[in-house]
Amino acid sequence: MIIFDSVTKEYSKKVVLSPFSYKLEEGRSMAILGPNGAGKTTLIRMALGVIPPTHGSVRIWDQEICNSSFALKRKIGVVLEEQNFLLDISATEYLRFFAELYEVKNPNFRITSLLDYMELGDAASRKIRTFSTGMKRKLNIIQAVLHNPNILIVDELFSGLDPIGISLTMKLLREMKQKGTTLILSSHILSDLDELVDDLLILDRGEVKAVGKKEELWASFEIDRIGRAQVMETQVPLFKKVLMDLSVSDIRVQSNNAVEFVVPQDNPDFKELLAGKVLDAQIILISLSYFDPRIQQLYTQVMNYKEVGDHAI
Amino acid sequence: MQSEERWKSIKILTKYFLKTHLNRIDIWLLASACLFVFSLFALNTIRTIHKDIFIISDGIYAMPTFLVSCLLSIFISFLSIMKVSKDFDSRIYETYLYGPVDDLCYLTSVVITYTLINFGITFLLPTVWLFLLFFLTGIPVTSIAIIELFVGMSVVETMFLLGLVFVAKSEKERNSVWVVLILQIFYIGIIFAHTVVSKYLIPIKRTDIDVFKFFRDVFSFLYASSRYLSPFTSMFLIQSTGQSTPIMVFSFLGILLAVDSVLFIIARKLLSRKLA
Repeated sequence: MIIFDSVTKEYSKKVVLSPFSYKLEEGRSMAILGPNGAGKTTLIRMALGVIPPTHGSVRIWDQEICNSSFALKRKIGVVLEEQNFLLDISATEYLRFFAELYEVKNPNFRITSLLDYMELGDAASRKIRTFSTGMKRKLNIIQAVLHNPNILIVDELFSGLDPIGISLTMKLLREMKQKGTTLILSSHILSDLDELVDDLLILDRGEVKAVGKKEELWASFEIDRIGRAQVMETQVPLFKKVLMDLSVSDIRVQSNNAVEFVVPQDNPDFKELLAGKVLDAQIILISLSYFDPRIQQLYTQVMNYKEVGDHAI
Repeated sequence: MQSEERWKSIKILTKYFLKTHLNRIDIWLLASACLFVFSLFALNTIRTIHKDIFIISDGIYAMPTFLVSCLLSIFISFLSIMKVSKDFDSRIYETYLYGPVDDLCYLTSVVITYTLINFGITFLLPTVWLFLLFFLTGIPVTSIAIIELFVGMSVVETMFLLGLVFVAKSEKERNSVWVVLILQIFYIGIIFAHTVVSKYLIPIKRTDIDVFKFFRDVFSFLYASSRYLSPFTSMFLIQSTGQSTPIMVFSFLGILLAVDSVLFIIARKLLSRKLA
């Protein structure tokens, strides 16, 4: 569990992070979002004890983290946006360095299997200096998960990765999340974060714009969940009537008999009620899906951005 | 417990810093250049001695050691400060701190790494060379020659630590490379300038006009003052003027060790402040 307790950071009286408190529960994943200079990296640096907060504290498993928290730091894995050091040794030696530093058991097996997993097996004996940006990034991801950390912090998640690299990283992160690893991710690409993230923190110029569980934020920022059903052509009016009976106001009938509607937020049993009504009315549903709002929607709403539409150009 | 953990990290960091350096060509070039320059000066000194070198062999290596120490001091501090300042400029230093490493671990590892490199190049290589020469020519390796090499190594170490302080202090770390370089050239320049104006540019006859009097006065003053400020001047006095009594040498080494410790503490304090 990570607790940010009234954490602030000032550099020569300039506030780079306003007071921030949050409790990230174990096994959950949090995305830190915001434009450049929002304070994301500052927060990550404080979470790792690299820089001390001006006020407040960061506690991990009830221990305040600082620069010399060796035992705590061994339980954390970090991938930074730019990480260029020890360039004159091979990838295997580089990983062996971290294996020694983090006291990894059975390091050779772990290094080989992770290099193969991230498709770097062929480059294992090559000097890091000869690696491309994407390969370096993959190597940094391997280095961060080498010791099976309880907490994984990734700054700019997809930076420098090609589509295959992104998919491999996502697969790895999903597996780690399933195993109970707490994830803290910062990224500019929001589209791939939806399925991975439980909590959100949105920062702008050091100000916390929004923080909390994803569902709570949707509710507080009134972002709708969308339902989409496909029914027989003759039953479309009947289905619309059922929806209206359940106080659904925003109903749109689209081509090929698809009905799109906004799920009412004030009715937690909506899905069950709709299913019951559909059965009672003997409506034949071809498909029914519910879509959670995307992080992108929340982000743009919080930051008061206008979404770029067809008329933008 | 914490010191145990810290020491463990220091050992691992030092091992990999050394490995990285040994994989780079600059250290090998530096070592070869050092050996070449030392050989050149030492052989030249031996060649120009007309008396029985087996009787006056004590001072043979003083000047070569001094010259090589000056050159190495410049190059090692240049290389190491470049490396450390790059670590700071590119925030590589901070990257280490994300793992089980703190500022003291990092600094100690850097100092140990460069001390070992310095030891190898400034002390070990020339010592091996001296013993090889002994087997080839029979010129005995005296304890004074070894001490002279050790003094040279200690001066290089002090200049490196001074460079670290500049790196830790400056806002733009890479500028510290030039500050240390200029400082060393200034220190060494005083010795050479003083030697030239006081030994070679003196009037031959009493009636000759002393055109260099002003310069001689200035450099004499600078040289006298630098005895207390420049390790190079002290090393020059110890190695080149035949005043190298054991008490003098050990006092000088003791002072250098104390200065090194103070510089290390200052560098650490400045680094911590930089992070805050």
